[in-house]
Amino acid sequence: MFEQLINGLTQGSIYALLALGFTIIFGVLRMVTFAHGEVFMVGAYSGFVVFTHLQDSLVLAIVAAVVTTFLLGALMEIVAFRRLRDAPHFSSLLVTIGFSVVLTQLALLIFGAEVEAIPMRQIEGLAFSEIRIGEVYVSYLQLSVLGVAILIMAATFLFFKYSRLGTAIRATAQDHEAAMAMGVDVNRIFTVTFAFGSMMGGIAGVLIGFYYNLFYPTMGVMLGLKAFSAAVIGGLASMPGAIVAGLMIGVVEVFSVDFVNSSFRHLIAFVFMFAILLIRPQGLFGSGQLRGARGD
Amino acid sequence: MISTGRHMITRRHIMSAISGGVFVIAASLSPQMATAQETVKFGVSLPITGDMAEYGSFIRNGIELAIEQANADGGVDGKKIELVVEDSRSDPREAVLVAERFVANDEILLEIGDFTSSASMAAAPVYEAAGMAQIAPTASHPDYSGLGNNMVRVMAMQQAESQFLARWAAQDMGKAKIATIYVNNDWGVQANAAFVEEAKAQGVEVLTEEGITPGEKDFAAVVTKIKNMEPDAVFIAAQYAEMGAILGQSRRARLQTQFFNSGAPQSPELLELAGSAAEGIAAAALYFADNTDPVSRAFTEAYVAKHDVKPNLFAALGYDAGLIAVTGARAAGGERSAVAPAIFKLSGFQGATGGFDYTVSRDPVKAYARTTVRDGAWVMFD
Repeated sequence: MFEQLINGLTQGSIYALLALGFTIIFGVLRMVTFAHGEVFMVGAYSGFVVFTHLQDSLVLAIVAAVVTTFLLGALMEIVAFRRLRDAPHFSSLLVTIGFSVVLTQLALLIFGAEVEAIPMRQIEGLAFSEIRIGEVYVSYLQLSVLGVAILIMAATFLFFKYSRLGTAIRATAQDHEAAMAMGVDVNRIFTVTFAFGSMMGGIAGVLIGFYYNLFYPTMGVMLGLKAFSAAVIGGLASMPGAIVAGLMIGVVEVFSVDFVNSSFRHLIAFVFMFAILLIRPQGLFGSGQLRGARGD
Repeated sequence: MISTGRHMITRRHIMSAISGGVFVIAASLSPQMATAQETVKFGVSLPITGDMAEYGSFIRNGIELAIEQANADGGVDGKKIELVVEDSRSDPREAVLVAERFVANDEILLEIGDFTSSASMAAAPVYEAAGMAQIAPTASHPDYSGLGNNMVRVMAMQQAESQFLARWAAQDMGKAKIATIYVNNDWGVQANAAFVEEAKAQGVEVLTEEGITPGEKDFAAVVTKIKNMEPDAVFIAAQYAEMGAILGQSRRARLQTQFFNSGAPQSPELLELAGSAAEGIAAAALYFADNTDPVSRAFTEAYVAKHDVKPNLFAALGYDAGLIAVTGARAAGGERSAVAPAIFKLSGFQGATGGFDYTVSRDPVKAYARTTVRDGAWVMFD
């Protein structure tokens, strides 16, 4: 039971991290990105490349994913979304789909379609180390995933609550025209926010890549979909909502395997989400308060 | 939720449109087309992109090797064979579209593909209606060969392999409580059903049958569940990507038992993915790299010379499909409808995955070898 709970929380913390990326981007830029699952994949591959070619250090792999996906997010925002700021929502949505296709195809060209894995001799120690808690063994990687995810989430909260930049981002989210009038460089805020949200996806990617030691171009598709659903369930603009919903979906999935059958895993997860939306159409933590903040 | 679904469809369409476009361009730019006047065209429908793209690329390597050798050996009636490769992503819907394009193209004599039984079976009616031979390298679903007079099976039926494994587990190893994990597609469901049926007939208690979504990589929950049931053995019907992940995660969850696998025997990739977690698994092999049979050995050597890696079962089946296609084409005199009948007159065919006789049965019966992994290599189980 305890083991399954840890399994669920691990899986859920990845959904939560990804959902947090969706939420941060939506909260400020008021746009949904369908390239998030692919940014996740880019994060995973950058960790993989650094680990296999430079130095076998999990920390360095995470740093690589952070830097790559932050820059990738900033680049996407500056190249495409900045120009589309006043265009209809569907335009930027289409561009995110375009980015997702481009990123997947690039990965396919660079790494090929084969599932890549870090050679076992390099990762064996990391992959199969475990820690004993009472009667049960928990794997070191599982704890790392959970630990890093919690750390990142906590840091995000502190950043938004206390830092100057975080405050500026929150101000922009509330009303970007008013923020501009107060001297906030809104363009810069949008870029940083998109980059920051993408970085969350990248971190989730490198964690899950190492957790399963599997890297492949389509690795972000299903996870991206689940995480987007978690963000919606959470209320789309609510950070605590995204985290709670992500963890809940992870735990529900794991227990649907344990109590029912793994065939029903995704079915039960989506029915669960559907049920929550029926009961609370605005999402778990959605207040509707942010809606219309930018007059749309 | 509704809007999410819609966007997924949009994205899928865009992806297939783009990849389709790429292949059309690639095909029209290929040098053979510009230079050789006299060619015979074989359509190849395989997953080139998507989750199953890697299997498609192995099969394609095998087919290409067979075709190169045939071209060096005079081609078909003095004409060079040219492959027209289209991406189905092994999606049954895409496979049907590819089939429609192939049968509409008068220059294409026969078709090789698809990868999954599901995709091959979805496309079969299109080929059957056009009288075009559909040579499926890997379709192992029992219903496939019965779908028409032009469906050529290269792989042995899955049932035979599953039953072989079930008897091995029950009779020879005396396993009494077995759990199963299978990929939820036509092939996996069949592989699992045949195993479970034979195991029950042998008096084995089947603890649970767990289906997994194709492409899924998180198995922590399912292996933890199975561990708590304390099985004597676990049967897994999955190709190497999922199989490797299941073995690694089983090790992490401390699930220690005898694993049986269908779908990844002899795969070097499995050894890379699972490392020491693959030690001791039991698998039945149709193709094994150290086979001393002359045809099989010649294939392995030619493949290694060309690609610098050992081939796997998928490449070997692709090669055999290529050999069968060439034989059929040479006997058909350029007539589409004559290809399949010519193939079914083949007796004593020898391929990289063994010999069989289409005159005896259109479902090849092949011999299995008992194999396992020891010290990081596939060896005979003794």
